[in-house]
Amino acid sequence: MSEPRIGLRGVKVEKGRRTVLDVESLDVRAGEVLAVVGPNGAGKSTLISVLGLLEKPKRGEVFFAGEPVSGDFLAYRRRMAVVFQEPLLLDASVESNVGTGLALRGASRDERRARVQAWLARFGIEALAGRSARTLSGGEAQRVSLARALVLEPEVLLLDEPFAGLDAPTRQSLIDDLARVLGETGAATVFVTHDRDEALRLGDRLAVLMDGRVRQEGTPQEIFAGPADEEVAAFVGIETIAPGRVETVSDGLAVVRAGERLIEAGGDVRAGDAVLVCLRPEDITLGPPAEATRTSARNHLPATVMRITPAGPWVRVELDAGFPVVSLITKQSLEDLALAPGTAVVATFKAAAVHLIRK
Amino acid sequence: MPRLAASIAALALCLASAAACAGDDELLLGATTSVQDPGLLDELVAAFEDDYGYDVKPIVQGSGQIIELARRGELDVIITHSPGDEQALLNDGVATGTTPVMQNFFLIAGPESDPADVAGADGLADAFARIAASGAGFVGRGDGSGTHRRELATWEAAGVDPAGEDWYRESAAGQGQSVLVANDSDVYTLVDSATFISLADRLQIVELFRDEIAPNVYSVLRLDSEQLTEINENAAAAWIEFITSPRGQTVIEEYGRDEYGVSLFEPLLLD
Amino acid sequence: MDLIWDGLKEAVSLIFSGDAYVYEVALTSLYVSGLATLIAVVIGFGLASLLVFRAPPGRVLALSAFNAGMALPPVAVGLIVAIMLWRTGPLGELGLLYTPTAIVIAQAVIATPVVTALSVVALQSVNPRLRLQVLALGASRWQAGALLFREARLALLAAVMAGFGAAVSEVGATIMVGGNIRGETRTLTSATVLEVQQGDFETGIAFSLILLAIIFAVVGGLTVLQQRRSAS
Repeated sequence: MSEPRIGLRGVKVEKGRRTVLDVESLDVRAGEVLAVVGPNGAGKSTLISVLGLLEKPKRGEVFFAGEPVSGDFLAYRRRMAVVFQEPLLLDASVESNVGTGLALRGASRDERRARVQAWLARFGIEALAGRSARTLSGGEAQRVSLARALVLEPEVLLLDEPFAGLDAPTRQSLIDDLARVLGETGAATVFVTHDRDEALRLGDRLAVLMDGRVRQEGTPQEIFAGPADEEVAAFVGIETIAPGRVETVSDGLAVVRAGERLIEAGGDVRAGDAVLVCLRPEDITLGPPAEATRTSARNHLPATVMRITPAGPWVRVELDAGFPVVSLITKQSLEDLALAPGTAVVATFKAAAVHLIRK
Repeated sequence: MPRLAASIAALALCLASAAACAGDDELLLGATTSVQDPGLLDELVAAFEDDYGYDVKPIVQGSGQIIELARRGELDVIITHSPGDEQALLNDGVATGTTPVMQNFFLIAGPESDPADVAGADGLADAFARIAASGAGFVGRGDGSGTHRRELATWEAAGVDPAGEDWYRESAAGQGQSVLVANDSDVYTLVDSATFISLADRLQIVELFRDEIAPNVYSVLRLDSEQLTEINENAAAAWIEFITSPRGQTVIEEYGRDEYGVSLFEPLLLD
Repeated sequence: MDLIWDGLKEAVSLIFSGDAYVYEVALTSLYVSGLATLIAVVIGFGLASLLVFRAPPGRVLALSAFNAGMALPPVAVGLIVAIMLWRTGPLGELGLLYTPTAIVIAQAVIATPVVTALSVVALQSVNPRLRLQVLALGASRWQAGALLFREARLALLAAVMAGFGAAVSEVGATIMVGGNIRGETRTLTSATVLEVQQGDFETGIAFSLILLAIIFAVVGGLTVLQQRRSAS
């Protein structure tokens, strides 16, 4: 097991009287993408600043390759790269911009040209090489910013909400490109966002940051199926996540195998895609096994009740259908169905309620 | 072009070694605009530098400023034409001696039509009185220069206070410029003869009254090196020796002869 | 108007006849003002860097001082510098009064606030997050400074031009600390004053036109540099 490439221990950052970041421990391994989600103001940008050695915490340390960072930060910073929400390009050509980091490290002209060309190609923007940065669209500029970071082949890559300022189609396209590229680099990546779907798409592991503290850390399934507390639950919203694979697609309707079950869902996917099947608890209704086929919903999963928790006026029921499923029902339904841990039920939901995330 | 190249080379050398230009070979000579404007000062300085080898820095300002700088020991030797100021310096012990070296005369220049009938006056004061009485325009120096001092003394003698009168203007400019201002407005002014003669061909105002009685005397002042320890007394002594010598005096006498047909300054020590 | 036309003709003839005096004063002007501008730029860029990137406490006060300094009356600067350099003054030992060096000092004092104040604005107009991004890409503090200076190059060049303009066009301080001595401290501006004083207006205009031509050449060259849109 490799040691973490980058980590934090006992870090506390204060702005005035407010504690904006308070992280006991956080680690990211080489080749791993940690997606940090949280609402605005959660301290996500501060996290990036501290990891990137751009800001010194009031307390605590940053660890790089197992050793606490000390002495000249510049050497460490040269093994990292950061992409911010704004592209923050220089007033120069695209080629020059992408080569900035290399030039700072003293790379030769030829080396710069070669590597820049290669990475422009990987982001599909070779044609923009000679263009002035001022003439680029938002999406193009952000691609340049990404290329500029990745051309350095950094050991640590930090991304601070890089897609937040872009429109939906551009964002989608960029996320796809980035997902592809991240899979190929060996960098320890920290990707910060307030968008849950982005986090799920790109992250190998998730951390939920709220009010400066890491509330929960783990795989997407761990967090979404079992949010640590109500605030986290309210933020993540989705509680059923199951990994699956698309078997067939026809007329926009896909059939996904999750565990041993087949689920119908809509989505822009192709046969063979690995996906995450996501469902909101309120979209899942429960019924006795016998009444399975009486609704228009196509998805019926036999499941066993595992745990029942009151949640205000509702009741939260955790089920096992071969994978964890969470449903939210009324107290009345609870009585009607006479549910108790161990009861067999059928969990029903519409194909339209299924949210597929391509992995 | 060779002269140009040589000048540039000399300039470059001097600029590059600015500090080195200073030192014991330097003479800070204070003089008034009425010596410089006609061009005599440059001639004297050139001759002096040739003969004695010093590097002269002529500091040309109005008399008031020259006197003040001399009091502070910021100048090594000065030439002025203001007897009152010179006497004050002697009285205060700032100057140890004064030697008159040359002179010319004051004259009143004015419009050819002479509305105040200055040409018929029987003295400088009378001429001033006539100007005041007629209300014709007058341009004064107003800058504490030697000429200005003479002008003020004359107003006093004429019993007139021109300050604030609408026919009186002060130019506070150098001698040459002041005359041109008067010329432009076609009014009267008091001017030393050297300046007037050297500008005559571009003037429409003419000489109307010449003061034969009280000439415009230029003296060189020896400053007290005991009190003013910073001054270069050797250089000052050399200058005084030069300007009082036949050589210097001849330069004075010959200046202007070729161009204007007459000496602009009359040497006082040439026999 | 004839005067100006005569002056123009005289200017042309002075330049092409290789008149030594004219070349002498023109070179002196270029030398002292060029050197003064260089000093002002070094100090000005340095101070602007400090004020914008390090943002020390009291910087608003310092900035107010420099902004006010843009309107410093040159003749007042000249008087103060002269008093400092008098033989009987605190720096009299240096023997700098009535030398080109004294003029360089005075003009540098006049030009520095101009360059500083305008450079601060130039650097402040660059996105402050850009500095963070550049540091995050592995720039040392010096490298970051250099990159940001390059980003602000348009406005910074304007600051340099303003500084040069302030230095080369001033005359009050030049005469006071330089003494307007022929062959040593006579510049185009002080030579113009002398000509006017002596009543030779055409030559005064000629000198002024030559000075204008020099300013246009220098500033024009810098403007071409500033406006060049080379993809680099």
